[in-house]
Amino acid sequence: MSRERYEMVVGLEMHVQLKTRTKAFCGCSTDFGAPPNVNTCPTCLALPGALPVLNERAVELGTRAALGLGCTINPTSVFARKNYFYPDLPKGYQISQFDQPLASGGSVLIGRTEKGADIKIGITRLHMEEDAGKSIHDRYPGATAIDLNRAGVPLIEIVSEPDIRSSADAGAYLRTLKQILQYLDVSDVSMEEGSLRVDANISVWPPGQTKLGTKTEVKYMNSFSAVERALEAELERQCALIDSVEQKREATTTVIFPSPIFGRCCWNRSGSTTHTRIFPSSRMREKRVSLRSSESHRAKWNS
Amino acid sequence: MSVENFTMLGAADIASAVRAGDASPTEMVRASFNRARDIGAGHDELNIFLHSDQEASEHEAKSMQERLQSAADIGILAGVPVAVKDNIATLGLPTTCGSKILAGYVSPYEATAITRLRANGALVVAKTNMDEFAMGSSTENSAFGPTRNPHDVRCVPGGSSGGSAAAVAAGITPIALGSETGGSVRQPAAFCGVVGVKPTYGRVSRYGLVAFASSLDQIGVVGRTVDDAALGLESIAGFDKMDSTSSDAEVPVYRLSALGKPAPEVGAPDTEAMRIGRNPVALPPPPSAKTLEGIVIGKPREYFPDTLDTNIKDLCERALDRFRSMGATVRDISLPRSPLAIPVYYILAPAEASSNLARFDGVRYGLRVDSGKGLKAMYESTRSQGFGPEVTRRILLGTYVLSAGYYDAYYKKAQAVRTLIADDFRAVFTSGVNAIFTPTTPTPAFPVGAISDPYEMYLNDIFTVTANLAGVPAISVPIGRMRRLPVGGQVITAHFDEYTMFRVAYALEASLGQEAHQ
Ligand SMILES: [Zn+2]
Repeated sequence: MSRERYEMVVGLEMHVQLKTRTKAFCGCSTDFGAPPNVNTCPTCLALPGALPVLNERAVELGTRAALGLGCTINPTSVFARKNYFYPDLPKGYQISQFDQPLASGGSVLIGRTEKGADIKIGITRLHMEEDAGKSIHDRYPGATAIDLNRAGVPLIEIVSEPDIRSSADAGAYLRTLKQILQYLDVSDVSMEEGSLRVDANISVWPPGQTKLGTKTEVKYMNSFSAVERALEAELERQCALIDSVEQKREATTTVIFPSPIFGRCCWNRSGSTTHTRIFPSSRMREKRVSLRSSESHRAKWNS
Repeated sequence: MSVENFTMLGAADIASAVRAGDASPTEMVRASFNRARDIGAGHDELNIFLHSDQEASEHEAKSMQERLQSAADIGILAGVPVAVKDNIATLGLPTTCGSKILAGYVSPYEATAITRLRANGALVVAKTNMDEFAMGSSTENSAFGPTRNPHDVRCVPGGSSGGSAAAVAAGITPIALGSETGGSVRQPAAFCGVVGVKPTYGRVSRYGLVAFASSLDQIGVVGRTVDDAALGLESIAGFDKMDSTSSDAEVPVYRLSALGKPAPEVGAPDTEAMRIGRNPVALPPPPSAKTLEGIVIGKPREYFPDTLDTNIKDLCERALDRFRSMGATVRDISLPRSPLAIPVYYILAPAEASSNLARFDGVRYGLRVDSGKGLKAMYESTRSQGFGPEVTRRILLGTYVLSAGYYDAYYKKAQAVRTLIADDFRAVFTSGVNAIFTPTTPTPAFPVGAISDPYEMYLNDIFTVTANLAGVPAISVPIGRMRRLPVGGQVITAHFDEYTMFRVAYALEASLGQEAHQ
């Protein structure tokens, strides 16, 4: 049985909606539960000629979250465009951060080993981005409905190091992170209202080894216990796969985890990498956000 | 002032008459529509307008009349009919960017520049024809047919703001808004014998200007005279919270009419001037040997190559002589990286366009071609049927240069060269040069259909595109004719120094007088 011979290697990405009154690049309300497409304007509908204006409050809250996680705030961060086509992505690109994120390097203490040593999960980076809208596939037969109320809502993505070795650790990490964000008052951290989402990257290896197996990305899990169950299921699946065949090098595969909120979907949002281009900004606007007395952060974006 | 002379009136003349109660906004709107009809602006003739609605415009004029009677100040463009390029969002009239993909699209909001025009009393009478999504230099790339040059209907008016330049040249409006990404106001202004100004990047809000290449795009103004262009720019310039790249630098008064110019006398109509809509009356005070005292004009050798047409070279030399006779010093200078501008531009602009034009996907507005074969097929048919060949070419080019593996070789390198081109301008302007003078284009207007090779077409912008890459302001002023076709000269100044640009342009216009149109 390989189940005992292998352990999971997990990195988690948490997408957290920031507690702002208005969206990241326009003045629309971020209220949850409004009738479809009510919280929209020329900018978040991507009407011809409309331009984004960065919400300073979003940068402040993102910065506060990063400081709370012990991250280093980068002196300058840059928003770029991730180009791909999808009906609930009105501009044809998502504004996000790539080469120069808001913050990097931090950690979360999730407990202690039996010998009393700290169990810390490293934070690779924390960056800002805007949410897409919502595609509703099961409302009208034969048609997909689009609700753009969420389009442009400010998010931070917190990317952990692949430091997690068990589903229990994953659960502990997520719960601790949620507590910290709650305490910092940067987000409502409600999975029900979609203000918190988690994606997991999992592969397996024999303990003590350094060569990782093929990575799987698990998305659209709607609760922390769902994450734990998904990781266990994925560990099982990968071990079985190793048992049955020689595992080949292949690209990341995306598994959509069944969820009552999102339903089982058969599409891959990002498409393949060949269709996703990152467009940086050339003549960017800067916004300086002051942190403590002497520090400030410059966020740059394209408009 | 008489409405009989409508095609010879400057914007300042119209506004002052309307404010004084000597003319009514309704008269001005009617005069504009009558002129459009008389000269043949319609689709089967010059094809200048894509959309207009005389009834709505007259209704708007009437309500302005009522406001005037209640003693409200209507503004510096009171009652002035203005034509607007079809890539600037307007309420009431469609905004199609000369593209099938936006046919019939009416914007539910308005561009800041338009709101400001209206706040200053202007009456938007028409949306003008253009190269699709502003991609082109002849207005032949419009999905709705080419515009013809009012000076010679066999020729193109230039582009991409060809409809706006033609509207002014044809005497339909004294002012028209255009837009520039790489010379798209100045080149058609030169081809049509009118004035075209591209302000400093950031001077005018881009909110409501449909994006082509965001780091280069800027709304510009076409005018019958330098004063018209100055008045137009002054009324739309300044910071806008809806455009983070708009500058909060103070906007000085540019218009000559504010510098104590006496009210112009309207002379007897000159039939030739009438035909092409020139305004020979709104001339500034006579220039003297002191008009440009202390001004240093740079003459960059890269813009006067040996291959430059001798007619154009001679007209430029005449203009430089006029600068000298008005007390300016002409200095030979070099902008060594300018010859790289065309290749740099044709990497950067398509790269940005490929991202900016992604929103035209058939989902929310505009054309949708859906044969029921799924989402991907809908995207493909909508975009391949909605976009014309030049737009398709540039989207493909832009997608290619941004794709992984080519990014460093093309996009990053072009970005670096762009900085060097801008550095050249900075070095010149910090070495004591106040303004740079060059020809606007290497040739006058060419016949419709004469240029089929895209690269040859791109070379039309060889002298203008550098100002967009560097972000500096530039203006094209008529400096004479060759083979009966207008030729333009270009004045470029440092960032946010439109004041000096207008000062030099006014002086040139005044000293050339009617020679600028002969
Ligand atoms: Zn909005």
